Amino acid sequence: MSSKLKDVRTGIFILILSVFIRFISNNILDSKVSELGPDFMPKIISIAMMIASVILIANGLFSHRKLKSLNNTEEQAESEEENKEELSGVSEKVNFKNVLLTMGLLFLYISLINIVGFIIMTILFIVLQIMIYSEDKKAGILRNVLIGVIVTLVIFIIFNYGFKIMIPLGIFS
Amino acid sequence: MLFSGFLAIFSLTTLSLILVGVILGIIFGSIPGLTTAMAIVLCLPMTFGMEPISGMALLIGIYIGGFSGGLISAILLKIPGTPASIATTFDGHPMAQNGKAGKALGLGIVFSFLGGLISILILIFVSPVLADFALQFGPYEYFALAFFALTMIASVAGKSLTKGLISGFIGMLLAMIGSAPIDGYPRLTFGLHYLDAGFELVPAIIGLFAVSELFKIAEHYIKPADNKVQEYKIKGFGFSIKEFREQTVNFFRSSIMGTGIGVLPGIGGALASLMAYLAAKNSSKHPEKFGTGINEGVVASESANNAAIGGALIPLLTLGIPGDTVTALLLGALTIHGITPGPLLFQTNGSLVYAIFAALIIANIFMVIVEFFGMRVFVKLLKIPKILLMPVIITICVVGAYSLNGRIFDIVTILIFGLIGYVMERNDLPLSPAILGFILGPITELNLRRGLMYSNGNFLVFFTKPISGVLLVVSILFVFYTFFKHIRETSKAA
Repeated sequence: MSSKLKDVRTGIFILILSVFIRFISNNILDSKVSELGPDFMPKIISIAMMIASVILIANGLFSHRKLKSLNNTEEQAESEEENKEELSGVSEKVNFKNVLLTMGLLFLYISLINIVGFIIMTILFIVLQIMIYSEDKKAGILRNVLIGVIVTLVIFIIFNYGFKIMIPLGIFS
Repeated sequence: MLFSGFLAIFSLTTLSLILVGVILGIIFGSIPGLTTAMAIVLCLPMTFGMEPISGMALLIGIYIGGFSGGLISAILLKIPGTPASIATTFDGHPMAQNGKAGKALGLGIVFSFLGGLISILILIFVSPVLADFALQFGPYEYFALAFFALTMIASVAGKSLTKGLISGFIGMLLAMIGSAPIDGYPRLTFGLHYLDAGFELVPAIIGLFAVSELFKIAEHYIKPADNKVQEYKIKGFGFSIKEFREQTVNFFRSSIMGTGIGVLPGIGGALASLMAYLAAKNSSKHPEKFGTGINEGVVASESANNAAIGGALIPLLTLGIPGDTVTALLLGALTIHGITPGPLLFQTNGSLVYAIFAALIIANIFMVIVEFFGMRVFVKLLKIPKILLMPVIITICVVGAYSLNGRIFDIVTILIFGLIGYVMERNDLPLSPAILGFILGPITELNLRRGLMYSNGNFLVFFTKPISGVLLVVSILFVFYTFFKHIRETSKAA
């Protein structure tokens, strides 16, 4: 997708979001304390965001069409985009599977840290996250486990005993 | 007087307390999530048994170290260690990526020192005048200042003005989730009580800057060929006398802005460094180079945030008004020792005040020395492959976020803001305007509504008060200027 079409997509998403926020701002209870109630700012900002998103969509469509009629075809725009990507060194496709895995792992880490405890969850998180990042999943497992254990213990000792900061211990408490 | 102040702290115990404070402050400042306030809380009980001068020496060491420590992670990892170092990431990190990590750190450290020094001198010599100035700031002036700063979003917008504005609005809306100012009505919480208190700034920054990076690295496997170690050279502070001289104007402007903004209670270092950065960018002959890793950016941000220290101490010592959590804790420490800051402090406890001034200067000098030698160790971080470093940093961030209030919700916040930051970056929406909106939105709203309460709903008062009137007119002119410049540029491009 050309960058201009991407803008249109972003714009539509923001437009929907701002209409939604403008809509739910109606449910904010109005207080009588001051002239402007708590609903004033959310309403103003969501309307401003609506306007900005419409400009983004219009700009995107307009320059996309101009590109098309000016040069040539979509392909040119597309290849330009690819050139740009190559220049910045990111030519391969985005690995969304790994991004989602990372998000899922962080979610698990955060939701279980209080139940299972900091030490076990942190070791697991570090080892698994390095694994997600590595192309060869099995390489250096021993090294990763070692990093996980040492880092976790060092953080735990420094924070818990040095800085006297409470750390969730989970099943060890 | 100052000389006798130096004599008062010139004992081995006091000097080593300052040194310990500075080191502890740098550690807490450089780790995202750990705050200067936390380090002070940790050490406060220890100071109870000490002489007032020794106790304050330790706390002042932490204060100075904490403010400056944030630059280390901001430059090397693009994760601001404290809100005050957000603007340091803009040019500091690109410099590190271009192999100039040593220079970026060196500039940051030296100008932190100089910025701090200038503001301490201002504190010593002109604090009564500035305290009067701060007293004139009511809701009208605060609103005008925050509004003025908001119009600056256009300058950090990057390539597209529209996208920058959208980012700014997103930041403002995120800050609105929770209880509304003044009346405390819950809004945009979807009935979830976790959200009633809203999101805190520190976990929000960790999420936007650190967690989003965790997701971004997962996008591509890093090939061994790409994983080359960023080269860096460090000699002395890494920059030449000529480069130092080039920064003179920028340095003075940023330090004075930093001190001025620091004086205003409740505004603080984050805004000081952002505003100084934007001022440097707007007055530069080559504004387009900002953000690519140039000296000016680091110098502006770091001189200003350390200059905010001296600024924040002015209302604290002369009026007894703390501007943020850290100065509130310092106020507490003073009161515990039976000292009441305020207009009479200079008469009743003059010797202690000058001892505090001397401790500030010494702490500032220790900060440079510690960071100068530490710099060579810090840059080694760059040698660690990102796929190993990033998971470790995230666990430290998680502990840091948790320790802020000891609640899981703050860790959930870093996940939420990480997702938001990642989605925004994928859609080319820049993150810095969002953070600016997040910080300024609540200040703007609170003071707008408070001001209208004072004036019985008359908005004109905002324009008739001299300070706020000037600020508002300048902001409106600035908006028009940016708008027309933008139109001219786009029509030229077409």
